[in-house]
Amino acid sequence: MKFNIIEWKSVGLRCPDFNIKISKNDKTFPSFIQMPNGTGKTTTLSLLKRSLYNHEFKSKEVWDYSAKKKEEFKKEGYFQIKCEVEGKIFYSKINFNFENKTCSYESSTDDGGWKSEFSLPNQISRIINREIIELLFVDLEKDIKPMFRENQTGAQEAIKTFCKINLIDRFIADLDTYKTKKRKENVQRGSTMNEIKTEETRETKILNQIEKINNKIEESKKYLNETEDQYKNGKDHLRSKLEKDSNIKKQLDDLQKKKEDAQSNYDKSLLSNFNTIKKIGTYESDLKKEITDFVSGLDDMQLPEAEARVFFEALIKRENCVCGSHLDDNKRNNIIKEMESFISSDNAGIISQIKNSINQNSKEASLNDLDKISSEIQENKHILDTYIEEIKYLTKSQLTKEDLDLSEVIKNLEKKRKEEELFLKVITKKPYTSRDDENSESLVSLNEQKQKVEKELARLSKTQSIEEKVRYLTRILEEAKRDSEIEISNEITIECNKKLKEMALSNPLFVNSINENIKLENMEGVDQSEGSTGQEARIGIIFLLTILERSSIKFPLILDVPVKGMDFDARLRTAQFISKLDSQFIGFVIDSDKENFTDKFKEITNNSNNYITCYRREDETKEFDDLAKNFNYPPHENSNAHVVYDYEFFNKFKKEGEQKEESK
Amino acid sequence: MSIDPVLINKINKKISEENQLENLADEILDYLKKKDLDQLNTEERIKLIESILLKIKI
Repeated sequence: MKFNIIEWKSVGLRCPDFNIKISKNDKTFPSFIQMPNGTGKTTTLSLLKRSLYNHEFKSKEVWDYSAKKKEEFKKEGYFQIKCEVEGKIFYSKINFNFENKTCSYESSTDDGGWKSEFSLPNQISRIINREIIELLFVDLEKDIKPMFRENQTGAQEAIKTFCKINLIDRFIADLDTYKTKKRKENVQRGSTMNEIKTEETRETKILNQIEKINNKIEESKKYLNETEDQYKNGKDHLRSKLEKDSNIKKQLDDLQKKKEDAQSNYDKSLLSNFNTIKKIGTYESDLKKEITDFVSGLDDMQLPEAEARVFFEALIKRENCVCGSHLDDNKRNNIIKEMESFISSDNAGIISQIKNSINQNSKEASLNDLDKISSEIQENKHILDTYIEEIKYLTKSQLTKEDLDLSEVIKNLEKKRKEEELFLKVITKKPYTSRDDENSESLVSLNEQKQKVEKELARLSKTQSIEEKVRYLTRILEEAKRDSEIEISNEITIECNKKLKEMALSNPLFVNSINENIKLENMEGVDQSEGSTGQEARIGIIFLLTILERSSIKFPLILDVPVKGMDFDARLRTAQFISKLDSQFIGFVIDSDKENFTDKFKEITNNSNNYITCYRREDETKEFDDLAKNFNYPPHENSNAHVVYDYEFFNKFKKEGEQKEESK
Repeated sequence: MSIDPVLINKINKKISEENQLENLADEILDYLKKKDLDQLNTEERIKLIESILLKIKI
C-alpha cells in the first residue's frame, strides 16, 4: 500500500499562504523544504497531521491558527492537503472560522465532489490513526521523546501496525462476531432464554467497561506524556537552585540520608508490631478467646469448602433429595452449580489460611509488651517527621516565592503522575479474583470475566463446540502474535544498532530492546534511562527508517530538522539511509542543515530529489524576491508568501541570524 | 504476501506444534491476506471461518 502527499495549501492562517507542490514530473521524490525559523514549520506540520485524522479543535486552538499580524488577519482560512493512495487522488480540508473560533472538515468523494465531514479512502482509513501520524510526522525536538518514555507504547504500536501484526486482532474480532452470530441463531426458549438475556446484559456491561478502561489508559498515557517535560524540568530547576550552594547541598544530602534511615527504622517497627499482634497467644484480653471460638465454629460447621463439598457430593449421588423429592438431571445440575457458587475455591483458600494462621499463632506462649512496641513506633515516627520538617524548612529557606509555587505545582504533579502510573502498571493488570465484578478496572480480570460469560452463554445456547474451537484458535493466534512481536522487535533492534554503528558516532547510544517503548544502552551495554535530545532524535529516525524499510506499507515520513545536533559523518549516513527509503520522505530544513546533508543527498540521488524553498514575504525579505526573480521564479506581488522550486536557489538562500538562533 | 514473514512462520510453527493439519495454517494465512486487502464481505468471511473451524481437531 503506497500513500503519498502530493501538495498542500494554506490560506488566511498563521503560516503564510503557501501552496507547496511536492510531486515533480508526477513523481514524489524525497523532498527537502527549506523554511526559515518563523515561517510556520511547526504550524504546517501540525496542520498536515490534523488533516489526516479527525481532530477535535478547541476554540483556543482554532484561534492559535489565525494570522498574528493585524494586517494579515482574516475572518476565515483553510488548510488543504492533496494525497495519493494506490494511484487514487483524494483531498482533505480544514476550514477555519476565526470569528466564531470554530472549524470543520471537508473531504473529497470518489465521484469528484466534496462532503462536509472528515473521511479518508478505505485503503488507508483502516491503517491510519492518530498514533501512526504522530509517529511518522515528527518534530524531532518534541515528538520523538515519547518513543523512549516509560508508559508510552508508540514504538510497539508502530511495529504492530507496520508489520501487520494487528491483522491478528482483526481476525480474532471476526471470530468473536461469528461466535455471537451462531449463538444468536441457536434460539432457546423459556427460562433458558431469560438466563441468556441476563448473561448477555452482563457481557455488554463487561465490554463497555473494557472500552472505558482502554480509553482511560489512553488518557493516562497522554497525561504522563504531556506532563513529563514540565515535571522533569521543574524538578531539575528546583534541584539546581538547591545544589547551587555546596554547603546547603551537603546539609540536604546529610538530612536526606538521616531521613531515609529514620524511614527504615519506622518501617521496621511497624512490621515488628504487625508480626507481634498476629500472635494470638500473646493476648490477654477476651479477643483471644473470641478468635479461637471463631475457628472452632468454622470446624463445627465443617467449613471451608473441602468439608462442605462432601455434603453436596453425597447429595447428588442420592436418588432423592434431603426434602424427599426425586432428583432428576436438571436438579442435579442445579446442585452442582450451587455447590460451585456456595463457596469458591478462592474464598475457601482464604478461610483455610486464616484458620491455619490462628491455630499456629495461638500456640505462642510468651507474652509481648504491646505498649512498649507502640511507644517505639511513636518515637520512630517522631524522628522521621522531624527530618521531613527540617528538609522542608531548609528547602523553603533557599527558594524564592516563584520557586516555592513551582515546588507546589511539582508536588501536585508528582502525586497525580504516581496515581496514573499505578493505574497503568498495577490496577489494569491485577489478576482476576472471584470477588471481581464488571466494574473492575483490571483488563486482565475483565477479559477473564468475559470468557466466563461467553462460556456460560455457549452452554445455554448449546454452541459449546463452536465456542471451544474459537477459544482454541484465538489462543494459537495470540501466542503467534506475541512470539512475532518479540522476534520482530529483536530483529529491528539488531538492524537499528547496525545502522547506528555505521554512523560512527563519537558518543553513541544503542537500542537495548523495544518492548512497549525503546530502551537504550551505552557502548558497554549498560542501560541508559534516557539520552540527550540529539541522541534520541538520531535513534528515533533510525527506528522509523528501519520499520518503514521492513514494512509493505509505504507511508510518508516527515521530519522537522532531521539532522539537528548531528556531526557531519552522522549527517552523511542519515542522507544515505534516507536515499534507500521506498516510502515518501519530506524533511523540513533550515540553512544550517544543508552542509553535508542536503548537498550530499543531491550527490547520492542525482536528480531523484526535490528541493523547495518557502519564505514569508516581508520588507526585510526583499532580497529573496530579487534572488527569486534571477531564478525565473518571480513572486506574486500581493502574496505574503513565496515558494521556489530550484536547487541552486535552495543553496543560496540564507536568512540572516538563523545560525545564531539555532545554536541557542 | 505483505504480512511480515516472522508472523507467517510463527503461525505455521504453532499449527504444527498443535499437531493440526498443515492446510489449517494455509487457510488462516489466506484469511489474513484477504483481510489485509479488504477482500472479504460478510458472506465470504463466514464461509472461510467455518472452513477453518471445521479443520480444527480438538
